[in-house]
Amino acid sequence: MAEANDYIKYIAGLAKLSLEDSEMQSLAADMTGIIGLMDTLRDLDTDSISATEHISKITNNMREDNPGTPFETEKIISNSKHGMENCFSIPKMID
Amino acid sequence: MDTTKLTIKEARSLLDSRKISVTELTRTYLDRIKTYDDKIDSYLSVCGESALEQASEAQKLIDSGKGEMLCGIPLSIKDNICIEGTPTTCASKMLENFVPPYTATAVNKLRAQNSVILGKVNLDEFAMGGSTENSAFKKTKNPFDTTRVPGGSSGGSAASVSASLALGSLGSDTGGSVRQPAAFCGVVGLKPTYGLVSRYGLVAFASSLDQIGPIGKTVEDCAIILDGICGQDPKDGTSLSYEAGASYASAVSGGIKDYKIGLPKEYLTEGLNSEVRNALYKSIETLERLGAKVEEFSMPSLKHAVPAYYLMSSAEASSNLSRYDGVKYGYRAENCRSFNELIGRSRAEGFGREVKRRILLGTYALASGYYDAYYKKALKLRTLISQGFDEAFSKYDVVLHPTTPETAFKLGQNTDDPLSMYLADIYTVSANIAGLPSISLPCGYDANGLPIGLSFTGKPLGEREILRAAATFEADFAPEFRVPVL
Repeated sequence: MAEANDYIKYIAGLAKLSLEDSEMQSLAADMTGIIGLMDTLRDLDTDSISATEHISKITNNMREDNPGTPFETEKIISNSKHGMENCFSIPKMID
Repeated sequence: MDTTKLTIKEARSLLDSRKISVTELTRTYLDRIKTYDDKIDSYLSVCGESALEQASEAQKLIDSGKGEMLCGIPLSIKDNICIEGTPTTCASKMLENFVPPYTATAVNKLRAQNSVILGKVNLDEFAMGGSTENSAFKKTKNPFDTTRVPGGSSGGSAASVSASLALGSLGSDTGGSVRQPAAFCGVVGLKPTYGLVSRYGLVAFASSLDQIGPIGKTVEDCAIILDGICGQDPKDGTSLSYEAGASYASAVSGGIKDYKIGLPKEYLTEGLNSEVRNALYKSIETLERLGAKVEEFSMPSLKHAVPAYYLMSSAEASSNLSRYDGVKYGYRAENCRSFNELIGRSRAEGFGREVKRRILLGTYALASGYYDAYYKKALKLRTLISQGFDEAFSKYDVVLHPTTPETAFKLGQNTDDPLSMYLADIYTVSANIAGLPSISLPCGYDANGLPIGLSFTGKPLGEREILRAAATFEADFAPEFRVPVL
């Protein structure tokens, strides 16, 4: 279980989820069962099968390069409480 | 007026013959929402004022003889489909205050026909779940039994139609999210062929699987809504270019004499509840009496559809949901001292538990060292499942199967058991994996009076075949059809 917790902690880091320890532990327990179901695929012999990334047969769906009307900046910024001078503010990144 | 059995087609006739005005019809639904939605909790937001304004505009068109099929028809919209200026929350704390700057193409098409939008309805957070219990805001109840779930993730859509709190609804279906709640709530749900309806403005969950679909009281109502929302869209590069042909609504007649229908043996598993199994066999007898030939066939890859689906959809979800970082829109954690803390805490505090599970699973499946064993393996299963259906449709006009292994379960019954929730998607996910159209409609009721769903799945762009099969069955089943008593 400790190993599972460590691994979920690693995956949560990749997924940018800052989980509390208690939540990490309960999610690790859930994930053990879920990954067990996914593991049922591992023994299937699919070496000769090609992968289908997307079911759509569409390739290079082209259209005329006509300029459209962009969204109004104010409207876009209005969804953030941290808009500033037509930009989004974030905590300082570089010391 | 009694709306409990009213269909879009009947409402059209009442509106066109001036037996009722659009405002009267809209007010009837708004009044019902006010009276009954406290019991059902299907709506997240009701747009009463704008609905009445839209009703007034629609009436002018009808009066001038310019009203189209959906003109003045009151509909609800799943709250992961954007409407400019109207909150679109995805039932998530993450988007609790999000107001989209644009409208989904499917909704624009409905509005172009002057449909009336009654409001936005509940769902599992980001459409992840099968009970609508994963909503951050409320738990929708099944109109047939309010101690039970309506299914999900389009539980608000299905419950609102079942309880006659809307004449029809738009849902979204990534692994059964239109069809499963339709089955649980005793209404009809249609997942169109991938690409038939634009995904522009549908908040992305798993982009290669997501598809907007209609929920209605009847097969014909679903066909009418589909006619209103389908078509290629330059704003969605995966939307299909196809020969339009006759309307989908016109495809419901003609019967199923000489139809060849296939039933996958792999779906007749131990997990299939006996009452659902009996309803399926009774339905087969009906279909044969109506002139179809039904036979079992084997498609071994279907046994692996659930893990393949969860790997693919979670991998895509983990990528799609990486956009929620607390910067441009969505929930933002307070008092963060660094950019990384802002992202990590905003996501941890803004997403609910099921969404976190899917993000973790998807990140795991895509992680270095696991990609081939999980994600790529799932993509190979997609090839096998698609090939299996290609072979099936070389022999059969449509494929028949139950929609769900069981009827609606009790609220809270499976909340702590995500694995059993995932396994219950066995009959619906394969249509999304292969991009096929599939429709669920009522075919019976269990001993508790809960609806049982029957599904027809078709070949790509085979909507007409499944609509015709479903409508023919529905006409025969009509004397047994029930509406919930609220």
